[in-house]
Amino acid sequence: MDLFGKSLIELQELIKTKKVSSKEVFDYFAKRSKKYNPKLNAFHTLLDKPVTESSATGGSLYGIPFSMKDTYNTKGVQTTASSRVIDDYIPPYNATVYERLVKAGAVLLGKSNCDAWGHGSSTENSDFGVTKNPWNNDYVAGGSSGGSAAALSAYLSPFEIGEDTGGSIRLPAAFCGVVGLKVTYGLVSRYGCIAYASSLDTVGPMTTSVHDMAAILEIIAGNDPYDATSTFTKSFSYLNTLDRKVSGLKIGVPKEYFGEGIDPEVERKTKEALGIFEKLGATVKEISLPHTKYAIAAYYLLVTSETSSNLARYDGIRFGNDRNFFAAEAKRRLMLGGYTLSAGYYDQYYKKAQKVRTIFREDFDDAFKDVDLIIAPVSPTPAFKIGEKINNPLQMYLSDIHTVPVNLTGIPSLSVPIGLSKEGLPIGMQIMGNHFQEDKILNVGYQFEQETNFFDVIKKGREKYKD
Amino acid sequence: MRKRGELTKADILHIARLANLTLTDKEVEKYHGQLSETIKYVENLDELDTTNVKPTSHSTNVTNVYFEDGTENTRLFSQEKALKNAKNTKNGQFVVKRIME
Repeated sequence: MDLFGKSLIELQELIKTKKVSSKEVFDYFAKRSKKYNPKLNAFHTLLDKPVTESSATGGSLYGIPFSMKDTYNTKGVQTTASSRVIDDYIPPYNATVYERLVKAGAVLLGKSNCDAWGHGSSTENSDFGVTKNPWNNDYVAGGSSGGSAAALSAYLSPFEIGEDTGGSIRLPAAFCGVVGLKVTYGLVSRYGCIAYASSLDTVGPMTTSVHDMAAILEIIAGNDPYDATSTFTKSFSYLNTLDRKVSGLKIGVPKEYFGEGIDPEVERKTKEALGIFEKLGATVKEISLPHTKYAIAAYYLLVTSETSSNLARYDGIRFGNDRNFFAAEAKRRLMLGGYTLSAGYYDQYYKKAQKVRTIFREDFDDAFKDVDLIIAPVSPTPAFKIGEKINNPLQMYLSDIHTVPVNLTGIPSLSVPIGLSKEGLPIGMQIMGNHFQEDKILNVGYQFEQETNFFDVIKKGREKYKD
Repeated sequence: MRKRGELTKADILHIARLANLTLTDKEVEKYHGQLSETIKYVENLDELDTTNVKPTSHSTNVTNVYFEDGTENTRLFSQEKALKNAKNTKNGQFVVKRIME
């Protein structure tokens, strides 16, 4: 049977009705991944056979293969965070998110490329080479979860688990034309995820439909005693609210996200998408998030401080190699963080940035008094060329200008495709809700998908990789 | 206090030492330029008066989480397992650098 382009729900049904075996499904994706990986460099590790046993009765994901960003501990399977510092590390334990997916019957296919330690917006900071954008191999796939987005776009994996600290799920999802969710901070356990910046790191799925997103999120969301920052709520449901109508919904559009530097095509496509919501009976109004221009500064102060502390543990004694194996971007961030946390500077930098976070939360709180959701572009531009920004770290940091405010405030945001640029590169928009309103943003994303099929972006992205 | 944003090369060496990183002369040169530019950029936060603003450390305000004493067996490592990824072990222990002469 030809499995090409089958959605998660279709694969589940085929396995359940025994039209296809779980082994056939695994082999199908393993073969495709091996075939296209030399071209795209989406994966570090590809497994020849499953490393876990799915129980015969099966959970809801029985027999469904998936890949994860290489920042999750997977027992017995090499985990590198895309860094040479731990290029020979074999985890002795499992991340909670992996454990939950395996318990539901899902089968690990591989580990996906990313910027080393999550430090980057293009995967050019991976110590194992850049991931190519499947739409045009001269362009970046976005980052840091770029391997995951590229794999989904070329249909090498039915779903992926990424990680979003400042846009690392949403930016690559937008650049590769797939669906990505940055969850509310604490919704999904971070236990066993290699830490980048602990007060901002979030674990989220990347998929090729909103339905798949809701199905995966139901499995991985909820309290974990091993992550003290996780939500107290045990479980969540998302599938049963996807069908709600969006009429009467109030959508806010922040004017600051359409300022200087925005690509006219990104602006036009976003406005067209907003038009669809108006057609569906929602109202769209301009709002202001007045401190947007301070987001990057606050974000980089927080993440470099926290990453310098988190990466202090890599000393090559208990596992991995010594600190000479850190590459340029990690060194820059470790030094900047060391500086901002050093004696006499803590109040002026780290604490100041934490106070600015409060200001951002107030901005968004005010906005959500007036509107139900906020919609904006994920990035001011479509994907950029490989090599274009790599020699200018500050320019690279500014790629995240529309994604980091969401991390500073901790709210959820869903990135979905809204069309293609003239050069044929995907453009994405993000749907933001208040804390723990994943049900609402998934519902709205699902209604948009029903109406537009994301302008066939996901379907077109796969065509080149059909055979 | 020295004016912020003016990183010297001595600062670069100092913070490299804080981060336990060894830099070549060429790297000192490169990072001096790049880090100075970034520090200068982040100082746009000075425009904001945050005197009476409380800092946010957890964005949904979770505090005071307790964990029962004791550990599940699945989380216990044998000595052998704990040492498995180490390059340098002796008598079932990690070998570390001498810290006192």
